[in-house]
Amino acid sequence: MAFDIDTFAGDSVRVGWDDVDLDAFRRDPLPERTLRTLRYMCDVEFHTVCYLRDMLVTPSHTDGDVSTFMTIWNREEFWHGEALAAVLGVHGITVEFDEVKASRMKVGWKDRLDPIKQSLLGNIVGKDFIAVHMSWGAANERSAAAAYRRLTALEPHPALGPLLKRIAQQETRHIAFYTTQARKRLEASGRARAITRFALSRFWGPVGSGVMAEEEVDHVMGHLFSGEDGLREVHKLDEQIAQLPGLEGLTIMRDAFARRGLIPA
Amino acid sequence: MSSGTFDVLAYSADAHGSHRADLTGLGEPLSHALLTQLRYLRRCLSGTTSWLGLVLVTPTHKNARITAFLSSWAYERLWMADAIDALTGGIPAPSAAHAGIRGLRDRFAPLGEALVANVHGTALSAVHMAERAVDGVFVDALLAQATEQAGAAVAADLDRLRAVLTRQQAFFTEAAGELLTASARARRLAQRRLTARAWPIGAEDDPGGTASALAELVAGDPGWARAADDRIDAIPGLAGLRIAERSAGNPGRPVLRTTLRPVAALGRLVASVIRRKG
Repeated sequence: MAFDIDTFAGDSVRVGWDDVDLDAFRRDPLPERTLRTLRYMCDVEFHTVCYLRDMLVTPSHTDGDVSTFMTIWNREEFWHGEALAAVLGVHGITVEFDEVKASRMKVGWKDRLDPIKQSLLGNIVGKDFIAVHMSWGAANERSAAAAYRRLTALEPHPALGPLLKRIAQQETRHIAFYTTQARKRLEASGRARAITRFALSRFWGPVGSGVMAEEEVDHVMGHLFSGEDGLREVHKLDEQIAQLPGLEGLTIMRDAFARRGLIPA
Repeated sequence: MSSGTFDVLAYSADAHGSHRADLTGLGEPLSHALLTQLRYLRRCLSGTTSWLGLVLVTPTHKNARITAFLSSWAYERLWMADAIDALTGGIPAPSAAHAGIRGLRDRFAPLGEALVANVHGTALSAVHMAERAVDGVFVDALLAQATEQAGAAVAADLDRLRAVLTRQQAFFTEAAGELLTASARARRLAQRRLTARAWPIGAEDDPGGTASALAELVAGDPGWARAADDRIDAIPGLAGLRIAERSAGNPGRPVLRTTLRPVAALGRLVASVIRRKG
């Protein structure tokens, strides 16, 4: 999967929803369970800046392509949040700056310690730490795209599907970047492979875990990835991650879901 | 809740992407002086992610209005730098040295800032906004001078970049003013931090380039520093720092040297007492 950063940056547009019939949600509102999942997705998209921060304190940002990507990626993810907020807004759920700020305030000490931890690790490990970020990002973006696909399948609302599809398409471009970068860096360094394998197998968790409330993580993952089709998606994601050099045999998604009791261990 | 009138969502929706399709000065010959100035500007515009790294480890990252703005601001800066790349023939600006002590400083600066953030808290947000407001004054002066030196086609392109910068400045100036007005602690911290660094942001990485760039500004308009300081003085709490004048006199170096800082602090204290009594 080749990736051209100039093309990616040049083609970047904010996701649009002007042509989405938001009134359709007034006529046919989304059920509570779906709204709860959408709210989680919206918050996580807005929290992208927190993931960006964790990367900027490590050597990752000194790489020109990575720096350009992160700038574009952060903006695209912000607009994913805004698009979802528009849908939630029709249902009377407001997600404005003050609500986002309040949810970031709740994270507390973990949020203060994370950049310190990341910075220390980045400085100790050096350039090979970029491989961890890229592989981690590939896993996150793949699971995010899968989450949008699953919600589209579970909630066939005529206005929601097209919007989620647009967001998922942008996530696919992000997957291409992270995967290309991760593959290149993992192929080049045995140390990067060892550190990345260790980090992903020990510490990876579903996107949003760590910043969102645990019961919300369980709700969303249970909603989207339970049942036969959901499990199939989990296995598929694991197979894709395991194709990266040095990550063969890893089942980070299945393990994370099993730890949460969402699937049998 | 912010009382700012700047519409962040409207700005974000309308953030300026690539300028390449609109550039009229591509391939235009540039004088050596202009080329040097533009390459320096390019470097000023491209240090965004390093600065963001320092900002986002502090409580500023919790302010969703500010981070929403910064997401689009970083995007616009990327394309402003790209436009200058294109106008200068794509010759990349020489990268600043990041070896030795400077390299170590860059690597550990976010760690230090993350630790310090636990002491200063949200007062740092005021400093961050003020930093960008002040930096924008320098970048605007550099752009204005480059526009004067350039032929009509390149000047038109640079004017468009200035318009983008002007809108960004509206946010930073308003946000800095609001946060500095609200907190005496933030004002003291801003005064201390803004005078402890070199200007424009990133100047300490390229003292030689900064010296040339600021000398060009002085040569083109001996009154630029006074005008720049007037703009900075208008930001609440930043009056009298003489950042531009001092930077022009000692380019690439902190506005106030460490040995002078206690004297400056004493001076500020005396001044505040006199103001109160007055």
